[in-house]
Amino acid sequence: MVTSYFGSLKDINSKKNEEYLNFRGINSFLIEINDDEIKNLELGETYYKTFYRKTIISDNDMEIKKALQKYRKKYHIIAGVPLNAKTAALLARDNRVDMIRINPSLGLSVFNKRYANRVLENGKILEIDLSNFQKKYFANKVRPLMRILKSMKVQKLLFHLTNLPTNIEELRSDKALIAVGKLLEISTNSASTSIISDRIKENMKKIEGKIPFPGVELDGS
Amino acid sequence: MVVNNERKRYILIEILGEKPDIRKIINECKNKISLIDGQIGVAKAAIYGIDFKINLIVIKTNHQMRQTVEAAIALLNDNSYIVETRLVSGTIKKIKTHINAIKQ
Repeated sequence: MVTSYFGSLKDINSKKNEEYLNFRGINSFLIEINDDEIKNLELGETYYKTFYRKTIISDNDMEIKKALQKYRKKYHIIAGVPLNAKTAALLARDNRVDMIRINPSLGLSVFNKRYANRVLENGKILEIDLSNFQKKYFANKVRPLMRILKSMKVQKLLFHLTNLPTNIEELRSDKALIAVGKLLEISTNSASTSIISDRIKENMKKIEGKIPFPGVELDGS
Repeated sequence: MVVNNERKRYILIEILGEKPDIRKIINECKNKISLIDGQIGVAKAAIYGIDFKINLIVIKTNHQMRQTVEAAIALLNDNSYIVETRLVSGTIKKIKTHINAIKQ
């Protein structure tokens, strides 16, 4: 499984946390790192499989386009958080974006069945933030997300569940995240752990130049 | 004739760290279920704990409330111990064979 992690890369490397991660059954990470950090990385640094992700949060179209141009070939996964309807449309349309995080504050005017169809058509993954479930009284926080998911009910829509962990103690196994996702009526298949790993493999091939165009794959040397 | 219509599920959970009293875990589970599904949910779940000597606990629940109980276990958040679901089964026999496999 591939678990999204928003903390420091040092936490994963330390032997202190090894027992904890083995207990949770986590063996590969999708880490959110800065542009400076990725330059200083050394290969073979970690015991676990590590992949890198970048989350673009902006309300400006041009900023998003510039960021995509800059980061696409450096990171395995590019995620976007829309802050208005325009950016939501751009993120759903652009081929360089892999994931779109549902922003419940935008409401049903953006995240509706039409948007779900557009997301499905462009092969995007929807990222769902489950961090609100950790709070003591989460009903008010979860209600908008539930309404959005109900309106976006389209077959074969793919999800990536995360609780936005910033330290090792907050990490949860895929089974645990799927169990919480089931409260939001997300099925096991649509939130399968292979979804993100398949996307990473595909993106790595694209970065290496093995897929020059969508649907065309160069085989051999 | 008395018929037992209630179908049940046994959830095997493993604990990392200092093993707390089983009653403490069950109570915390009930509190979480109460937050998710309310007091009626707690009543429907009919949680019952079975303790084992090693760091394993079996939680017996109603099969309809299995998903809620699993989510409640996933949401348990305590600094002294960590809990992880390992197996869900309809019979205690299968759980016991799994535990024996872990022991070996």
